[in-house]
Amino acid sequence: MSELFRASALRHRFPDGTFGLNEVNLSIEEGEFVIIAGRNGAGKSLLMRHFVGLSAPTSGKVFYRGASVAERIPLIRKEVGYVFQDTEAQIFGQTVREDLAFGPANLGVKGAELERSIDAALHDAHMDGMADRRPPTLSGGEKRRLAMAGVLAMRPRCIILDEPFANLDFPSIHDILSVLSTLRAEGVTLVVLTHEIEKVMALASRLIILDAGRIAFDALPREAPKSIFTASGLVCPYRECYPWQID
Amino acid sequence: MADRLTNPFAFEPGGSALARFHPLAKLGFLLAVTSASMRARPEFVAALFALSLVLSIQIPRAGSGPLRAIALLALFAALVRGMLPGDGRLFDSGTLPESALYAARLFSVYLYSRIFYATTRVSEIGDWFTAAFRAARTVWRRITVVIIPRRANPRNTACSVPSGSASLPVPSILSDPGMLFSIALLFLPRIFDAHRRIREAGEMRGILLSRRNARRSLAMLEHFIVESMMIAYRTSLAMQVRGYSPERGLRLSALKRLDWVLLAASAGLLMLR
Repeated sequence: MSELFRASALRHRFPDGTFGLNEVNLSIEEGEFVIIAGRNGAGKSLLMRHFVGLSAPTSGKVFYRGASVAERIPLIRKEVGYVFQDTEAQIFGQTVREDLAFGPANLGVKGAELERSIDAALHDAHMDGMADRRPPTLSGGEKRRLAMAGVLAMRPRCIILDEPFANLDFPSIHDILSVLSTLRAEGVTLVVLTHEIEKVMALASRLIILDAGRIAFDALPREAPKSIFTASGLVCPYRECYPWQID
Repeated sequence: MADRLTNPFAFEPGGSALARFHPLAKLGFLLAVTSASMRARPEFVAALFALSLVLSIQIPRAGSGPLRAIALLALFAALVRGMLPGDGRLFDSGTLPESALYAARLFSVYLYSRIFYATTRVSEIGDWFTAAFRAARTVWRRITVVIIPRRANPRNTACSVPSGSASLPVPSILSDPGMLFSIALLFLPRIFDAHRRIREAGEMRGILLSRRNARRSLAMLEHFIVESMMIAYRTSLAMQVRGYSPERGLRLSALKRLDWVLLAASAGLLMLR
């Protein structure tokens, strides 16, 4: 496995003097399925914004494939997909097909190859038969999968998903997990930012917990002590300590 | 479904034969048919109106709001035209044909506009808009080339040698006006939705705009402006990570034989008297 992202002593200070990220050292390898968890405001999304070049560090460095992110922006746009939490804001087409064409067309993909990318993305996102649907007619879960498909159509090597389960019902969460399983089997690097770790922990190969801009835990999910979840404001996903389990 | 009811000009994906025409040919036809509907003789207007009804059958039904508004406008115009003609009668029925013609003109323009928007993607028109702008930009650069000095000597300005050339700059926002246009149209319903949510949230907390409480209304307006800017910001981020560049490649299709036929028909309509 080769290294995709690396953050070295990364700090991000807000104008009011507080730190969004503080001395973050981290690397993500190709093919990993990483959960980045933490309470609201822990710095999950901010960290990923640094990884894709949408924010600049106050100090420290961020690398993509061994070179600074600033130098790798064109490669990052090609290889890294980012599914934001606000799905509405990332739909640009009047039909599903048109929306899926947006990304690949920006990369210069045309004609039959573009159609193939769209069809493959529809299939991978479990949206076969929805190509001519209008986005406003899709349900919340379908819109979330459309946002994922929009990224998949660009054939990325890595996908970052920001709170992919937010505001979704159980069948929609199931659909998203099914798409993630397929992508994992295909070897796509997945980075899921969430505080709902219980939904995705079984699929992940690595768990990183952020707390107040610092890494509080970084290891295999099964190695996480129960105390770390409550200490970091997360739900303990194990049966014996899951807070809302009904006997 | 909801946006079809609220937006009668929403695009309708599907296998409609009209959707296969070139967007520029359809735009030309829309302009010609609008012009003809507003000035042609009654028999031509009747024919154009009948044709608009036939073509509308291919388009799914939209909300009746605009139709009702046009009907009200036509009714009002008929009343103004016919009421109290001055000879002691309440209404002059002789003005009705003229009023009916006026109504047919308005309905024709609405129906053809709806057919155009329901069968044409905004991005198709946007791409042509950008292409036209880029062509104009190239011409602008050629005609505004000015000689500029390569490097002025600060001690002796007389030594500066004019050896380079550049054109007057074009603002970067004008690199892709078609996308600007497409995104603006696409996001209007979302902005309206944000406005509705903020208004409803305010009403649930006792802020009634109808009570003319300027301070509270301003607070809601501020919230609405911030929310709209956040929508725009999130959209720009999403466009950025999906590889958008203002110098993006455009998808411009060529005119086919049927498109030329439609353009010829449009030229004919423009000549109608």
